[in-house]
Amino acid sequence: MSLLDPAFLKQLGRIRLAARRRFASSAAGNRRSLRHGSSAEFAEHRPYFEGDDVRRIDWNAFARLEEFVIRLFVAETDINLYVLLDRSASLGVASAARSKFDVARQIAAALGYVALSGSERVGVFPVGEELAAPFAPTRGHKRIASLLRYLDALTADGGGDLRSSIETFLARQPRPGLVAIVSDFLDASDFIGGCDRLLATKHEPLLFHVLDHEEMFPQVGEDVTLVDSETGDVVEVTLDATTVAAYRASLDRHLEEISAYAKKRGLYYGRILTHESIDEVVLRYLRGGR
Amino acid sequence: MTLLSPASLLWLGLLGPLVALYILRRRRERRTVGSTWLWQRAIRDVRAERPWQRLIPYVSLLLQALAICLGAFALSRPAGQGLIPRGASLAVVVDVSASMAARDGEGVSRIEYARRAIAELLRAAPERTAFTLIEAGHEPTAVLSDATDSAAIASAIQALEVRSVDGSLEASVAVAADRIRRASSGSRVVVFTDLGFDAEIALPADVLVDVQNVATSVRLNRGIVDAEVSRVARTPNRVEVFARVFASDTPSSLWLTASVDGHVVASSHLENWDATNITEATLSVDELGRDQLLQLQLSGDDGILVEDALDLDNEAWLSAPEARALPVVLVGETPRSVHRVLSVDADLELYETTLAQLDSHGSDSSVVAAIDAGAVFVYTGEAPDSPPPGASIVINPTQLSVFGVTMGAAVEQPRIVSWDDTDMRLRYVSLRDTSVRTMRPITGHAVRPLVETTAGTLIGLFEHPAGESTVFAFDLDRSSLPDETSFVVLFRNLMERARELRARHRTEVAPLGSELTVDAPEGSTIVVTCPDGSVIHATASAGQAHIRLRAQIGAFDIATTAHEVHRRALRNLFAANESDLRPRGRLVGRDSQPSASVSRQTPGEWWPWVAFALLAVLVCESLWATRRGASA
Repeated sequence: MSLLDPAFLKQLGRIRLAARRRFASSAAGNRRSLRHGSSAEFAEHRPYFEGDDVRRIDWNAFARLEEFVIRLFVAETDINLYVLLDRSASLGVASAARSKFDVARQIAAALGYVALSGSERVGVFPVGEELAAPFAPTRGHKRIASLLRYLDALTADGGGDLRSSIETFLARQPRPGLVAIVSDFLDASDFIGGCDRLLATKHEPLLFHVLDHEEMFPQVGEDVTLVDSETGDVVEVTLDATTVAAYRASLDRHLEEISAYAKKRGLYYGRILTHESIDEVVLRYLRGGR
Repeated sequence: MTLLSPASLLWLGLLGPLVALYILRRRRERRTVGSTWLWQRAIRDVRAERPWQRLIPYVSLLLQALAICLGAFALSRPAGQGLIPRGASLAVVVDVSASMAARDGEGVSRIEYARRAIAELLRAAPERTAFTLIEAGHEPTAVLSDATDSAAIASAIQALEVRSVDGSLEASVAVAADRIRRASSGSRVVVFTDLGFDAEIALPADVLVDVQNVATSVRLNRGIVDAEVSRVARTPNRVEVFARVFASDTPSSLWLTASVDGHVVASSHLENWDATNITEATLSVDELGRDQLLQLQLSGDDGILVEDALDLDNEAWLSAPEARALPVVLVGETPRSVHRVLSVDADLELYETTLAQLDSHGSDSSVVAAIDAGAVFVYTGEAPDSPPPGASIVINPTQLSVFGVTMGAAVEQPRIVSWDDTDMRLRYVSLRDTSVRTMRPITGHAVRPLVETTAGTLIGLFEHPAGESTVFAFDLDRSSLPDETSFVVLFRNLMERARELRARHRTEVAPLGSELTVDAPEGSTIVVTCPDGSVIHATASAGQAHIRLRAQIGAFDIATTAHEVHRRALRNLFAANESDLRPRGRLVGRDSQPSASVSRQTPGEWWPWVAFALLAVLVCESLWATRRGASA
């Protein structure tokens, strides 16, 4: 479905409405920033990372937990939303009407729509083998159409290297903000290391995990030859129950690994299948879910 | 193991299409996925736990290929070696040569082993198996042909015995193979032999042939492999014997002895064996009468006859040979013409005597010897009351009857009107211009007229059980016949006939098992007394009787009831290849020389078991194909 489709635009409006109503009831006139800054209001603890200000270490917590943690305070600042949209070929695989890339773009569109509607700065950075021409960070609801047109024109092809793309993104020295990584995380590169780099540079990664329904639940069937959409590697496999079960176990381990990482780092991790609507995963985040 | 229907193995050709279909069917669907690294990790995990998982894609192919192989194998009807399937025919060839009479340490002969083995074979064969039995004797003899009656078959098997010197094994196998070619699949030829021959025989390539060697053991054997006797010149009864003897062990204490009427008359120590285990010996025997037999035997130093594996070659029987010259005894005043025509014949020895001397046994020794040697008697004027054995001539008899033949009154100058030129006595004889002064015609039905005149029979033939007499009813010197060429021819024919009769009534010598042929009037009974005392009766047909003699060494006495003629037949085993009992022959078959010990054949085709295995494989394949997680 095109991002400019009226039905999708209507859906975006509903999401923004839901998010705005939430935001509107939680604070009078002000938007609670999603960024932790230096203010009097204590927000939470998080583990100490190399590069953090050692003055923020909460020694009382260390005495209790014997673990270095720092204090986070609520900061009333502008939000910079950076969307790292995975446009590698793996997202182009579709077993249903919508491909993973379609879903990923919709998520990016929804986040950008809500943010631009709230006068936040939004930038979209398509990642693949390397960082492609981005949608430069901008603000204002008048930029929504441009964003949607930009996202609609993107295609999924080529290989993917999230870690390299994150490094490239950070090389631009963007102002700290929210970095929504929308990907299928089937990249063999060390994207966890990339997320750690984002955290170290005071960004807050948001993980939106898009999976194809067939990838999630492969069916027992005939002997097939699987072709990697990015590398072209070929694997001959007999889709018997044993092999499918082993794949599910392998996938579950992979998903558990991502989920555990996100939980440990206090990051948002949302998973969506291609046959599901994006509403739930986007709204869950916007409503402060983890 | 044999395959009764090997052409069915062509079903294995289905393996090609199966593999091709499998390859085509297994052309995998190509699917593009986001990433294969999770699948690769999954496959590694699975193979780490279950290494045989690699084979899972091929299990169906293997099961189906196995099913095809089992099916083709079952259709080819595998069977144990020597098996006779139901409906098949069996042709048994039995070597009945002399060496099959050899006995092992337990006294069982090879032919007996063959009988037992054949009986065993039949017990293992299905009921109603068509059975052909061929004796490989001097010539192939089909004893039974496609017989199914078990009693008749059993009887024929029991009747198997050694028959002859040398066996026609190759020809017999060819006859048997010809029978089997027309029979159903699984039919076969089984050959029982001791391989006691020096040859390589090629077995038919298109027929199943089993060969069973019945020579379970090879014992010591010595045998007389050749012998002949010859008269010493100028000594009527002295003979020399030349013999060749085989011994498998080249012994140092072996003797060849010669006996006449049970008395040892000569012996020779056997030594100087050659590379073929044969030696030669010469014996001199001073006295061996015309009708006496010489028995040769092998004995040890103690004079005890040898006992070894084969008895048939331990003795030999010989008879004294005839002298080259035919003795003719002239009794009475022989006409000068007759005396002249006989004396000029170099192959005749003339002796003269009188009837009175013969009656009183007063003839000199030479006459006696001549008589013993089967002389032809020429009586002139007076003849004895009964004719002598063999051929005789009576010229111008003076008695009223001769040998019971009546002589008529004298007739002057009879005219010859006819003669039997078909009779061998009158061959090339013409009496057209012959004149006779006086004759006394022969009358009576006992005489066969040879020459007829206007007055009656001038020359007649009187045949009697002991021989025949030619009667001239006139004085030859008082006729024109001696002046004619036909006279010489006539007497030459008479002497030739005499030799013929002499030879016929002598002892016949032939190899062991040779058929005996006896000339006898139609319907007459011939009685043969075998060396072991058993008696064989036969009836003459078309002037002869052909008698199959048992394989015995020695003299067979032959008598015909019609004429009380007595003769003798000698049979010996003179065959070095039969005395050598080692299995030497080779029967080359389709694959290799078949040679098996006599053993029971286990019945049962294998196809039921193979078919059961096929069903089991099909069940496994079905279970595999319908298992959980199997391909759709």
